[in-house]
Amino acid sequence: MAASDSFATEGNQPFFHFYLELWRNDTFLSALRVSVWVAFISTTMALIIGLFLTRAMFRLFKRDDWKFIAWFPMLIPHFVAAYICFLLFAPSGWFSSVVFQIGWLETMSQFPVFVNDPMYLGVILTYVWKEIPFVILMLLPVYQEMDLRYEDVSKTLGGNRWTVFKTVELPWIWPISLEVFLILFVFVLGAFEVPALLGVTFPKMIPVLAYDWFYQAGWVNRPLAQAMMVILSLLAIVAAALILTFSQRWRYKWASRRDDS
Amino acid sequence: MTRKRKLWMRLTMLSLFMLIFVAPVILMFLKSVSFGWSWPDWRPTQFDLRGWRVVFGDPRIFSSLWNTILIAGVVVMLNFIIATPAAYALSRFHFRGKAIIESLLMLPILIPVLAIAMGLHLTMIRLGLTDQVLGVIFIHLLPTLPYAIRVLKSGFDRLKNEWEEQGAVLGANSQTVFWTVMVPLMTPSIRSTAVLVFVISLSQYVLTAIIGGGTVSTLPMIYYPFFTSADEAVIASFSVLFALLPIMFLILFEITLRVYLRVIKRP
Amino acid sequence: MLIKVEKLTKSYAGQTVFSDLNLEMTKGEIMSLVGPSGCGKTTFLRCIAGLSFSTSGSIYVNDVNITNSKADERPVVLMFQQPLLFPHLTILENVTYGLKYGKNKSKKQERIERGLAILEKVELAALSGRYPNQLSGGQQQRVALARALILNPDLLLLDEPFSSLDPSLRSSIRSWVRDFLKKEGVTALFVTHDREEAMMMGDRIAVMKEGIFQQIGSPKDVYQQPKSPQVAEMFSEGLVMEGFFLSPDHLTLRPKTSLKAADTEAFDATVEYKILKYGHTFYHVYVHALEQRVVVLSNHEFLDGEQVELCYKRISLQTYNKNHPVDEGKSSKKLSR
Repeated sequence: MAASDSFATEGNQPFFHFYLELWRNDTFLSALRVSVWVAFISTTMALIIGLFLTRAMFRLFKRDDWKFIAWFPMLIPHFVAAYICFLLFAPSGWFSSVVFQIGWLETMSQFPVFVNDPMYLGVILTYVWKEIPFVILMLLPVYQEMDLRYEDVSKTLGGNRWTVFKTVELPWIWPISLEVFLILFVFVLGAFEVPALLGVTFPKMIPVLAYDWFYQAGWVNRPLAQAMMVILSLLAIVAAALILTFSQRWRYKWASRRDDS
Repeated sequence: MTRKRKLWMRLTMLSLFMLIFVAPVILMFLKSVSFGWSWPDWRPTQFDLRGWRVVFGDPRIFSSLWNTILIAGVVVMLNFIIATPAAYALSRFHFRGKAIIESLLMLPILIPVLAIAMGLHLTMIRLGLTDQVLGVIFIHLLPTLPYAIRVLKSGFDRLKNEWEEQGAVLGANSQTVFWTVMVPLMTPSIRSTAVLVFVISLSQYVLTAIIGGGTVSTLPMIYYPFFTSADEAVIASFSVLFALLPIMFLILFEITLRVYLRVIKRP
Repeated sequence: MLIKVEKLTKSYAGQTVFSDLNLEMTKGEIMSLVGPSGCGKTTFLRCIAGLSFSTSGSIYVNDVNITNSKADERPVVLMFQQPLLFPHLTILENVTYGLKYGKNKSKKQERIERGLAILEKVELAALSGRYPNQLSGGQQQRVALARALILNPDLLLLDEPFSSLDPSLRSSIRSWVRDFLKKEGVTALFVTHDREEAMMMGDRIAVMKEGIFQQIGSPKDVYQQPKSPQVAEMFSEGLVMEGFFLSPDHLTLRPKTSLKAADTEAFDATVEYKILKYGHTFYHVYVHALEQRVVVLSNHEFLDGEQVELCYKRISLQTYNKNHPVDEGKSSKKLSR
């Protein structure tokens, strides 16, 4: 429906009128840039840190009671996480106070800008904190099902840490990691709550911009907002299709290889 | 790795976990009960419940609190009613087009819900579902159902068919087997689903704003304007309230589960 | 007849799982169903339990046709390979599950009394308040047995219930189970792929291969007088030839140089190795002409690799069972006709 509204034409305007207009719109382009930047960085960081933590915890603890600590951020709504980020990283925040007490600062304004900054560092930090638990909870079952004897084989054959990881763990976690990356990337791309609190007026992230346009007086920009969302959806679906077929084929190949052996 | 070193590593990792995941929330709690804690104090000097008094003194917060709990509770229930049979069918049966249905169910995770909400807005106006609780409940199903189905499906996947068959050969009909064998064995998945869905519903601002049109007031509707207010203790108290709701829900849910198990356990 | 299975056939996705199976069991009888994996024996068992449905044929228990009734409505209980004790219930609660949720619900007091009584019988009454994960594998199987028998099923089905136990435990618990089933007069159909286990547990043995009952009879009959080369290969330890069978109790070993008696034939064979068991020496020999291995008891001393002769009396050469029909009951009918 968003699609049909965004195709609606007035008089002799071409079919893709709103899409062409979007493409020439600097506000949109900068929003797209910053959205992809935030989604990519925060998702990659969450995935890497989550992977590291899962590996470490999985090896250190036989029982998985510890995962309830990791569960904790999942209980906190996104915008509360944003507030916590603000509490910690704002110029008037806790870290700034600590750095002042150490004596490295003289005024609040000397503290680097982490929230409401054009690089969206605060937003990225919030997402990383919120999504690490999700990564852990998705990866942990895979690690628990993994046959660690392969690891011993690889070690006795003289593989170093990286080789062991590459040949034993990666084949197992690769498909699920891709899936997690995809889910989180798309989520961050389309979520409104955090950038609405910790973002800046320019550039806005796409969801915030879409919401603004959607409610602007007279609904003039509503088709534009909808066109933007359609583009975002299409991007997400195409990416999903690509990544899922790729990982599916890959999983299939790997499964058949294991049957042969 | 020697045992001593392993123990030491465990302690380090646990403290790291606490530091990253729990400590920030504790800081927020301290903020909510402190008085005049501002830059550059690194710790609170005086304690006071003023923030909490302001939050609970606001009548709008009380009615929104009720709305929020009502919506989230109904959304959790609807999720179980819809997701359980769907997840069961996806886990146990093989049928043509299963892969397509599974992908379709994943779509709301992949397509930004904002896009769906904007698209559905006009339709929902026509159906008369906007500006009322029912419409908000409906729109909250979008971001929650895919997760519920996923979590429950993997729960069913882990549960071998033989458990149901064992119940059947002992003479229990399939409904009894479901309530006395499947539900108890699925408690981890059920708990995860309930809490996840509750938190997602609780966290919705933009969907509630669009479909509820400002008429349906939930806690996030009030939270956003509050955020810009200067009173840090008040906003901290409000935030802690948000963090407390899922925890209280979890406790309540856990008690219900325990009572239920106690009831079906009697020999 | 307590149990009567007539012409039971099952096909799935265009393939026959088993066909035309006939089986009759009297009350208190234990029948072993033995066959290689994939021969359809588990599916047959599941069809009798009502967890799977046959394509044609019928099943009667006490002359009641149960072919199409659901699992929970049948007077039949199946014990799986795993004990499958419900982990959220205590031992007593597990045992009384069927009494509480089954068709004939009994009062709470009665349930507890009967539960404790049956736990007493399987010697686990002291553990009634424990949870399954606090019990050993053997104890868990005994609880599973008690949970099945408390329902007084007309037929107890056991699907390799000992395969999840370790070998030393397995032999002790299976003789215990057999004695227990006999003492309680339980009618049981016991599925296994282990020949020894089948002989030990069953009053009669049904040998299944490729979806067909190859032979049904007492362990001794099936062992000594197999009905077909397939049965002989699977169940007996003698020499299998086209058209003939040699039971292992008729085979002797002797050095190659010996003279030949008039009524005796011999195969050339090579000793591969020997093992000592039950105070005797058993030789594993390879018979060149038949390309088969056989184990023979001998009091002579032979060396590994030694060429020997494997002798048998001509008279002991038997044909595949023209005179030992499938089922004693049926054969007597045939003879009287």
